Amino acid sequence: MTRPGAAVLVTGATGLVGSELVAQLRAGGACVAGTSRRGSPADPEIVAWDMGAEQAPPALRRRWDAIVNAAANTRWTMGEAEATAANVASVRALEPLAGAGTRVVHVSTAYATGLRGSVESADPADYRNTYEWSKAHAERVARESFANLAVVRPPLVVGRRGDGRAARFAGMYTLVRGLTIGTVPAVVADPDARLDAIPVDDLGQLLAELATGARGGDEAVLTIAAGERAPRVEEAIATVAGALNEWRLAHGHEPVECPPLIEPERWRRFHRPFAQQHLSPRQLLVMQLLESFEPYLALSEPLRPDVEVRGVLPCLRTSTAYWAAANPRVAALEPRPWRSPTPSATAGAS
Amino acid sequence: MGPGFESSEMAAVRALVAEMSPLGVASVEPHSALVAELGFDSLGLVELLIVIEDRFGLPPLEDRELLGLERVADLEALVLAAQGRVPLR
Repeated sequence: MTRPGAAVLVTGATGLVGSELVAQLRAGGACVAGTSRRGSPADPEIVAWDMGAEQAPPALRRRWDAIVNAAANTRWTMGEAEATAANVASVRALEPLAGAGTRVVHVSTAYATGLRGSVESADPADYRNTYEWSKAHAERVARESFANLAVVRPPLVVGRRGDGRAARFAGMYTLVRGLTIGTVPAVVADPDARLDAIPVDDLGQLLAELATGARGGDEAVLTIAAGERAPRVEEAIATVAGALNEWRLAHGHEPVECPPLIEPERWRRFHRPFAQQHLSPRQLLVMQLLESFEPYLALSEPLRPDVEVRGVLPCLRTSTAYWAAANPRVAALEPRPWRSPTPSATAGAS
Repeated sequence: MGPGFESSEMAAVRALVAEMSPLGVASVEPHSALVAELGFDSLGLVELLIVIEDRFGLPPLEDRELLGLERVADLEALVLAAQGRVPLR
């Protein structure tokens, strides 16, 4: 049962997941403190702590009923050292704070099982990127470090179900942002692939229940996802583009085009070589960012959730609308045509 | 157009940077670090450049400068150079 007044520490408390969890725990009566790398000027209960590089501040050395580790660097393009510091050393840094009775809830990822379907391998080749590799390592460390542990594995996380609110815009939002600034010529995806994304409040609710004891403690690892109910990529992209264009039309801007889907093999053989030769550094940089999505948009096998999420498409719609309202200058940009590199804008300046 | 005009334009650049900072900062200084202090990621820097190009009616800023952007002052220098006010170092 929920214990009002339970002392809960949330790491990554200003991030997408952490900020939602802090709000839900406080609404439920828990006594919540948080950490983030920079702290929070708006919330004195959130202290600055670079978990991957420093020991815990003295203020955090007290008894905790629960610790939820929502701190992570979710960038898929990190080097191994950076990924280890951000996602593994941060778990070790929590060891001194967890007492014998502390419930630890570790936020992992639905893709931590990599290419082999297991978190046991230490070989980076068994994972799609260093993010997955480091999150698998983090799960192994957490298992060794904490006796009373629950691991939660979400896929992509978007804004709240009702209003789309999100504290940060990463992951799926990279596609939205690329679409808006006109740098997405195509989405490279398997036609059968699904885009599994869940609203942050559904994840926050599960984490809060696990932290406060409202949900039984006999489930060590839980995957929360839409699974077979996740929309296909084409449907998801059309929904995102539709929501963006609704906002644009309401604010007097022309709609952006919905990029076509290109199968990975066709992209690699024909389109990618052309892009590398003819695009500007700016366009190439964005293409590289978007290419990190490719392995996830080629997964035709749906995730198998322990906690099933429904109604993903409406969440994508509200999340996109919230992003546009929060970033009106970017959302309103006129799409820029794909073009060859421009001559220097400054070379002739005098 | 004298130094006062430049100064107000640079203030406008800083206001845009503050408004678009993912960390929601109230104001920025020329020495503010775009990534480490203001939270911009790579895509955020591209967005910032495009918004600045639109806002000041500039031709596309030098792409080769994109990865070299560290501080707000670097961005201000790019804008001045693109307007032909000062040569880019």
